[in-house]
Amino acid sequence: MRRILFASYGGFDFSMISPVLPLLREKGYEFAIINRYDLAPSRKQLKGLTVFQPPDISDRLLSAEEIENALPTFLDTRSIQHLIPLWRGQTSGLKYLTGWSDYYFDFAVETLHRYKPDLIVLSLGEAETSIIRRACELLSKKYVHLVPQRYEFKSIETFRAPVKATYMVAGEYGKERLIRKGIKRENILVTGNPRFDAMFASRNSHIEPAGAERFGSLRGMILRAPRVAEKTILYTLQAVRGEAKLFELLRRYTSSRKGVRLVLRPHPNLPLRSCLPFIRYLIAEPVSLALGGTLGGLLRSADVLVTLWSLTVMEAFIMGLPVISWKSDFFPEEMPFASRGDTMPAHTYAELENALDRLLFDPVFRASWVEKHQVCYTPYIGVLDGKAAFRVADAIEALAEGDTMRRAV
Amino acid sequence: MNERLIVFTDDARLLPDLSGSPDVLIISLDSQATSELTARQGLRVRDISEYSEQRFASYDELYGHFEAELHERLRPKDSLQQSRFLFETFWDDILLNLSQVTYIEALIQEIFKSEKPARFEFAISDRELDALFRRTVERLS
Repeated sequence: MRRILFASYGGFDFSMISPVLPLLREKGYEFAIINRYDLAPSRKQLKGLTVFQPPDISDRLLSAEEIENALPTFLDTRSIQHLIPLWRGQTSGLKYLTGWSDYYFDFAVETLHRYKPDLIVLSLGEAETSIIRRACELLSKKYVHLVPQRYEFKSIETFRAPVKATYMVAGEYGKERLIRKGIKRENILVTGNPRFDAMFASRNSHIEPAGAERFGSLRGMILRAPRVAEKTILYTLQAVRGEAKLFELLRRYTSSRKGVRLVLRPHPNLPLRSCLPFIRYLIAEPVSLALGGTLGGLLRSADVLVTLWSLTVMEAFIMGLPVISWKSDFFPEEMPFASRGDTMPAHTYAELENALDRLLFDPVFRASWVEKHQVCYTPYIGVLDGKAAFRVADAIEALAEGDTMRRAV
Repeated sequence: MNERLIVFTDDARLLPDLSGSPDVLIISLDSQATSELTARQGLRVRDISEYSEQRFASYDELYGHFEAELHERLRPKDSLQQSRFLFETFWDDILLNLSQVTYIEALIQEIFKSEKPARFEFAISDRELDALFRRTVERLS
């Protein structure tokens, strides 16, 4: 039996491969996943999936001092001595550094030897993927990158794209971005993204996509019952710079308009304690915390999504929900949506207030905006025909069966 | 004698009492703060992006701008294969983090050159940014 090994699809990314797995099984494939990250949020979907996960490596985490001492082992640090103190401890990759990478490299090689996959389907970006890709190249194993959405759409998520590799992306935007990185057009397959198909299917049917539930025992629980309100602003939390500031501005807005409430959506990959700074506002203000339900249900109940750089934007597009994207620091834009006219940009409170007023209280403007943007997701994720998972599975089959790839295509 | 004081801020509410300082330039790190500060009478305010030699439309452009320089500065100068492997493995993380730090460094260098400040104050709410600005200013002073 032929075997496919998926690599580095932890947490949120797992939902893009989970619809593909049954199709591969129907095609007669076995599959497994090698992952350093915790797969806990996806545990329900793991039936029949072999998981290769290294044992707890927390004892291998390095202290800040050890990181600083370890850097010269692979960097010429003489010219950046002053930058190291600013940098250390900020990067998850650096927390593991050499001890982790040596260990994980050995683990990846051992896994490839043991499982003997015909094709490795790799994520993209970060040290973990680089290590597995290197193991594939040394062992002459075929691999393909199935690009997670954050790398396809967020420019803040930098990644190297090896020129000779093959890539599967959701839409034309990702394809053009890879071409700008030097990838040949013929090495990029536009497949759509299975998780977006599932969201699209739920748009009209109200059937929630598989795996949409979150927070286990808290499912269905909403902290503080929502007040009766005419308008709902959904704000996606990410624990990133500027989040508290935007929250304050949204509070200012809700307190100045009657019948407007603010619903906070915790980040699905972050612990609930990341919401603690906002909890006290739930008591006396029209602010709620959405702990249960599904993303689809949440988007259906909202009138507008406000976000810094959450990729929930994509699901909002699919569900026809207008989006306001906030950007107030001096760094570049993280995502393309505002500059391409797909979200309403706001850089100051005046702009935010104006955007919210128009989308919440001007029905003519709102209808016009929704009409103009009803298929604005197409350049990013293609036509949502429900067949993305089939296209991904077919591409994996073709690449696994093909004998043209000895290493990366 | 130059007495110019530069105050870096990302939150107008944190601005210190500047009444005793005759020559003050406030450099805002946040467009909302810029908006609030410029609305106040008598303050000289500039947005920090004005000191950038170019506007970066995306992080891809920012990384691209600093990539060659950082690669050359940081690449292992020894011939060990292990050093090269580790460098390549962590290059994404290195570029992601140090491009942003290097961008801030370039902005502050330009501020030193064009404004010739005598001293600085920091009214930055974001702890990470505050540390970055303080340390970079300290090093370049």
